[in-house]
Amino acid sequence: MQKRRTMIISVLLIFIVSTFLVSMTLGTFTMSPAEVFQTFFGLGSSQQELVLFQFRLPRMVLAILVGAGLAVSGAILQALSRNDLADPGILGINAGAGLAIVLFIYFFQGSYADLGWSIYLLPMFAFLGALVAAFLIYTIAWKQGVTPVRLVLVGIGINAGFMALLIVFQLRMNPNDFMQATIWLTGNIWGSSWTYVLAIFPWLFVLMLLVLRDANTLNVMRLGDASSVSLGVRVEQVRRRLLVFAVGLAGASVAAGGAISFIGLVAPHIARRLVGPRHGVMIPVAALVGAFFLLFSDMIARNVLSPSEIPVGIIVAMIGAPYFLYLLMKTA
Amino acid sequence: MWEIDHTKDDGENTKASSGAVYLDGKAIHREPTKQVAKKMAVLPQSPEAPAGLKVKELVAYGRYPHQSGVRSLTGEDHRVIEQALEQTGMETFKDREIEALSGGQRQRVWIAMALAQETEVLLLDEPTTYLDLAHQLEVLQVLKTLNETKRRTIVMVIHDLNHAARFADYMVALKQGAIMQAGSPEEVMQKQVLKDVFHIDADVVLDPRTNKPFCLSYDLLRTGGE
Repeated sequence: MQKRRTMIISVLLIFIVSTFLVSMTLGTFTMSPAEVFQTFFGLGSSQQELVLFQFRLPRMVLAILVGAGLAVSGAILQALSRNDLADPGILGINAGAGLAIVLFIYFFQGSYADLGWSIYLLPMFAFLGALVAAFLIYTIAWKQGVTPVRLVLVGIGINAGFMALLIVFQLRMNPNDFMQATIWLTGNIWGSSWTYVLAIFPWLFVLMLLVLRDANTLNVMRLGDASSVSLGVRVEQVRRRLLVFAVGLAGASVAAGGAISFIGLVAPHIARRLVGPRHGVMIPVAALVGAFFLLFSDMIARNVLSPSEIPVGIIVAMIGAPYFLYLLMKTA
Repeated sequence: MWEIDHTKDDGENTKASSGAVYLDGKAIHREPTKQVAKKMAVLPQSPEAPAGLKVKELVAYGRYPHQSGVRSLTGEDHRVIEQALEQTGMETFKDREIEALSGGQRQRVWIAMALAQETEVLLLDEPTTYLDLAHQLEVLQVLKTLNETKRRTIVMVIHDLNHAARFADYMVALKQGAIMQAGSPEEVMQKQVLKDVFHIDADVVLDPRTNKPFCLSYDLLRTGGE
């Protein structure tokens, strides 16, 4: 058991590292592995250094962070809703974060280009938007406590509402911003600079530690409210706390990666199949799966139609949607 | 071992609107939840385990109130888990996935989890519902043994009067939240009590196998009632 777990984590790490290495060499500006190696140790041309250190590396690091963040957020939501099909995209939390960011840019910036220092405010805004969505879901679903089914159904409703609002604001934008917003909402790691990495890393790191500290509680919550109470969990209080963690992770991820769907759904599911449903092990594995999934998808998104890029969300959906359908058919 | 019988639409959905529940002389709503969980375990009706969870893993969840933070299981925890598995006869199944078990075995796993909680009092809500006749007995016998050999107080809600009379030391008949009759099975399993609580005309005999009162047959009383 312990051995299998170590093996699975090692294999996932090897996948991530090798995708990382391959990804460094790929792009419109081609670099051979040898050149990448040289550049890495300060022996490349200034152009090579620029491409590698200022464009590719931060983007890849972001892909890893966003993928892991979405995966962990999905894992929490699935435990809280006791529904393996829940995820921040389906529940409208991503849409809430997305709406907040589109509003932010619509009112305060007027353009996506050059956000300057306010980049640091973006995760904050995304978090607030996600929090508003979660708050709405929670209060509307409230009826002497929140039952998992109501949480999911209300979430789907909120998602539809926010998506409609997003379209309203998008239609009022100028064509260029509209295009940008559409790409962003499909899911695109757009802020490929170290600034973005610095803006979201602390959030994700702290939140993930907090979630791991609650792994045992998540295990118990997954058994349902009655069992949780019997085992000494203060259900509503804990549910609210964990919901805030999930919202924070999704919000920060969406701020950097747009409204990428499916990762929050698929990564925890794959992790459960690999190591079982206990959260102490499942959550780190889900984070690795999510990180690998997005890193890999982003590599394809950047290169398949080179020199133009396609939003990574499309690649994720192309891989994720069939898996989702397969899940539905299997559980039905 | 206590058993509580009640008419389905009464006790079941009644929420206490006033008053308090006391455990060891303390109002439980004022006690920290984890403290209560160390004294009393509650097994809800038809609980569901997540897919892929193994027997020993679920039983280990019973240690939750005794754990703090992220610490993994201690030697003491493992000892208690082993013991709970053994007492419910589930030790040979400990590496199996819960989904793969029969209804009776699953119920025993949940009881094992409640045992791992190491509480003096164990409350069960209709633990035999949805089980076939043999599995019902199997579960009740496990509980009886725990009561007799491990001195655990077991309180359960049960609809099968004959099971209640056979296994309980003390029975409480409830109607709309009020106690109609309480006492030994002989005191509660009486024609008049059954008539008052369930509006039935019952034939209560002595079960030759167990020497306990047994409701052999009954009819609904036709008089308008409520």
